[in-house]
Amino acid sequence: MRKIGLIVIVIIASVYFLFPFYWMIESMTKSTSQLFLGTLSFGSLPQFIENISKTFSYSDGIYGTWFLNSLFYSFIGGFIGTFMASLGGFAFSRYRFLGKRVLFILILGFSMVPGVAGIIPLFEMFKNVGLLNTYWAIIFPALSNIFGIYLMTLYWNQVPQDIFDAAKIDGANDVRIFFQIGFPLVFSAFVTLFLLGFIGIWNNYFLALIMLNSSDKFPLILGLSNINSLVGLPGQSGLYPVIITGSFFSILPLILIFFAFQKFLTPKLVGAIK
Amino acid sequence: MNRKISKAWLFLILPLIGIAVFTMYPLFFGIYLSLFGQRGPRMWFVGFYNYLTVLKDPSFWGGFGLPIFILLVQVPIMLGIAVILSLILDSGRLKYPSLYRTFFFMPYAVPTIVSGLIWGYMFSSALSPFIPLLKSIGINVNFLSSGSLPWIMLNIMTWEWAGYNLVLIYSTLLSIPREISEQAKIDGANDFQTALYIKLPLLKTTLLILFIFSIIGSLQIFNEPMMLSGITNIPPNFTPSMYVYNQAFSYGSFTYATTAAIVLGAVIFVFSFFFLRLSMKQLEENIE
Repeated sequence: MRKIGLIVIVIIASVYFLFPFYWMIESMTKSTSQLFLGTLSFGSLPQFIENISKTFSYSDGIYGTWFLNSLFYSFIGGFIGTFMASLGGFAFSRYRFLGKRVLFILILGFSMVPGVAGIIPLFEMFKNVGLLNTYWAIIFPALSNIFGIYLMTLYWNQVPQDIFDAAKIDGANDVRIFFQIGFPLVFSAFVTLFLLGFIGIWNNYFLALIMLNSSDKFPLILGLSNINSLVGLPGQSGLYPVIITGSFFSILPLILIFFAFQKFLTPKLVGAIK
Repeated sequence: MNRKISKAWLFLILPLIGIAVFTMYPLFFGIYLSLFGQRGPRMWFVGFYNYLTVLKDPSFWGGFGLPIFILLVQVPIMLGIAVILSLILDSGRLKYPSLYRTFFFMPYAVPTIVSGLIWGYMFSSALSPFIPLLKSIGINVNFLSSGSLPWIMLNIMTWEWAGYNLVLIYSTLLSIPREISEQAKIDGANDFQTALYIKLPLLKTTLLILFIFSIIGSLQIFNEPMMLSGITNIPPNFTPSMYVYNQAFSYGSFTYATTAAIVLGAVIFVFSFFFLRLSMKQLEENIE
């Protein structure tokens, strides 16, 4: 009988965690006036199709532009950040050099400084060099990936030294060892870091909010928050279905990544800390 | 003595330039900016005057009300839920623990902007599915009144992060050797006692780290209230990060906002530093 108690608790928790997903999907099938009724039932299929077409045709199809922008920022930024982390991690893991320990601690010390402290000066800096409101303003900060370097150092440490020694005896130079021998061995770590970077940039609202002001450069979530600030104005309540449908499509890629790569994304505190 | 420059620098140069330009330089530039008064494009040196003003600024410190509430109320609730659910998943009495784990972890895939938006709508007077239900039993509520905002935030943050914490706690539990809890059972402990006296103490380090993560996170809350402010009235200093943002981009006081951000950063740094100290030993082992 106690087992039933446990199952009840777990099911209540599941309902709580899944309910917003249900509400979002159910709301995508409704018109504004149906939404205002506040029921939990589904609307209709034609309404669902109309909401999707309204979302993607909103303001001359700006939603599609936002979607592509988000993909672009997240893909390029995620890749660059992960590549930087692989290089740095390789250096810290495979070489002994003067000042290594000091450098490692120094870099990690900077990772303890929260992003909020540097973001306004970063804005001023980009303003001074004319990078405000450009794609670069979102891509460039991905070059600094301290946490990634730390994680990559851990991953590179797991590759046995013998493999590198053997390659060296065979006459491979360091750059070739990195790309042709080392890289395939840490590929799964590379995927993990890339996905984390991708998701991090997809979700990075603050940076986009301060750096960008023309809406054709916005990533999705900034675009969504912009429409959301209009919906409360008189006569704009027709935007509710657009925002809800738009929200769903903004998380769809993340949900797909989540299910396809859950193994890569599950955080492993024990491995890193113990 | 090997005096030639290590080949390590070949690999380090790019990542280090990235960190120097986009993390270190902005910080020093920020400290420089914080020493200036500013009105529009005009700037003049004021030394530490901005810091003195920030330290005495009731609006800035007022923004810490929400993080403190989150810390004292939401974090214990969230960690409590995460511990209880992961102990249940680990008890071996459920058929599909990994299925439930996936359910609980799914909110982690939702951007905080979107979860702020969806929960905001679900609590708004226009769209809420809860208000008609409550009305039908004679209860009239306004979920988004200013008094209930902290509780709305508590709910959103618990929904977002409980699953993440649960996954980390659960993976710690899975790493505990089976023999330990089996031995406890042989010694006559029931499942509940095993969970309370054997498993819970082994979670101490994990919980401490998650608690520090939560402190750091709660001091930086920004996205959810920004989304809620499109739906209801949110004070401009609802959280310290919102205060910093509004000082800079609503009122144009960039150097003052930078100073407030540095003070906020220092507060967060103190907590992060505990985390660094905690994990320093492991860090050092990893670069041997």
